[in-house]
Amino acid sequence: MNKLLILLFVITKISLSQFDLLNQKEYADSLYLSQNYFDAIKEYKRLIFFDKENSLTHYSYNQIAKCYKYGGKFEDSYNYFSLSLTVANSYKEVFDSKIEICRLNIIQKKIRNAHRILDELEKDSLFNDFKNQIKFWRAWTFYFEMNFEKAHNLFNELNKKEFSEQAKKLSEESYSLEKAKILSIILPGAGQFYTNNYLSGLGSLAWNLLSGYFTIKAFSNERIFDGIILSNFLWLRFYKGNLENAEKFANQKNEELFNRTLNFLYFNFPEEIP
Amino acid sequence: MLKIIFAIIFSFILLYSQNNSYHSPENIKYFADYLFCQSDYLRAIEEYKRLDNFLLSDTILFKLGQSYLQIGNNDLSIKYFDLIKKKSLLKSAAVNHNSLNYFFKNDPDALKNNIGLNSELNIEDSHRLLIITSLINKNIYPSNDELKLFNDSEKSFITEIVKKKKYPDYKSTLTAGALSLIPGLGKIYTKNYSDGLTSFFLTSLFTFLAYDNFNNSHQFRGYIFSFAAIGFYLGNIYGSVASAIQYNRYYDEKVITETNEFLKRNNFLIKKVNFCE
Repeated sequence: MNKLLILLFVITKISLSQFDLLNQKEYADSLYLSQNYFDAIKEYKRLIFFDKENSLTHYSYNQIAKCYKYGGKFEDSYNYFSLSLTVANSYKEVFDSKIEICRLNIIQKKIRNAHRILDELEKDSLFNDFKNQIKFWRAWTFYFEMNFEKAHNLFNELNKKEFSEQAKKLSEESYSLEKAKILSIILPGAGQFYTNNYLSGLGSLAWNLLSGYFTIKAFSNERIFDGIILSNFLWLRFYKGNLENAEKFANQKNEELFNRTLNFLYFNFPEEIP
Repeated sequence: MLKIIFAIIFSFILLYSQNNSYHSPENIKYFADYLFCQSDYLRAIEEYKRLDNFLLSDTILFKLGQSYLQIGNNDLSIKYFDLIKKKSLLKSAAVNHNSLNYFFKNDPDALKNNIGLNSELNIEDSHRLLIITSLINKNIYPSNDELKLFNDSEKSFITEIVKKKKYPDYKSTLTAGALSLIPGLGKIYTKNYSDGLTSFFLTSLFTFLAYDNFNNSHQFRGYIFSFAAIGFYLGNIYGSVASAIQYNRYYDEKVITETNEFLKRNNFLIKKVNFCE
């Protein structure tokens, strides 16, 4: 009889503590889903503190890291993803944490770090089952690297139609920085025309023609000193400004395009964005 | 018999749900302590504040004060440190930490007042902080007796600061202005070498150009270059005086920065109360 009582006591205690743990997880998750990240972090920390078996520790660390990530605190997020890596209980959990760290690097445009993590995962035979996922995040890394052609090809291989189409769109519609610059080298203002900034292009052309005319006139009249001053402080200034402008406009347009497609993908596939 | 077993289990469940929940007062306190030791002060404060007033021991009040101090809310920190009872073992430490609050609030008078009101306590740390604050903010030099409160390395640092305060290595604005009659020399005097050389070079260049153009009967250009040369020359005089003022301000700021770094290195001379070991 006594043994039965002790057994019942133990079972009740275990099931009640498990119940509390799950309740706490549910509460923390609800805060996370309602985007109340500050409180969510506190409740996940409470979960970690009372989870003596460490059954939800990896999950909680991951969730805390995600809260920090959505709050824009990437450094803290990185620290918690790293912590989650230290308490991972399976290859799947290790992989998940590493991919999350990789996503964090992609979103911060730390492209070299992202590639390095993916290379390591790719080389490790333990993660052979996750090849497609690695390829997927590699495609995203190329996407953020502005290498849209490669991103398009990888998304295509994975049959991710929407992603592949957006990457292709970007690859076709984005402006080439080199082309913008070369055009401006040949004819001042042409790079701005190429990026549809006609007014700025005309202005650039006019200033260069005017300052060029003054410079040449000074040299042809043998006013060497005036010529040097005019060419250095006037013409070259406008010519250099024209080159920088062409590059800036191309960059600006590319950023706009990039953000527009990223927004589209974010609203349609929020879970599959870095 | 079955009824007894169910009664036992039921009462156990009841007892468990009342006392062992993660949000029971005892567990809130444990969790708050955990957050406090993780330096997550903002969340620790929230948790401590969930506790009923009668559960707020002096230790918890101290931790609240310390948490507010860490997040830079000095007024609330002072409030909680003040709530600690006079007889508490933590009172001296609380007064010392309040001195730190007044230091951060840049209020040496309140710091002095805080010491005066609690003179019967062991608040040597506060005295030491007051000596340094008075030295930096009010140029009140410590007496030999006051210096005895510090250890050797602290004493040598303070002596150095006293020396810098008593005999500051300032640059005279008058000398800088006078020296700048030779373009650039005033700035070189204030150790602004690159500006000095630039000033010398530009004033000389435009003076030469003006002279050369007048010599070659280019009157108009001569006037333009003369105008530029005069501008650079006057700018050089004004800049030299400004450079001396800037140098002196930088000197004062450097003394304050050095002192703050020294204080930071030494935990602001306030002994830590460690709850997390």
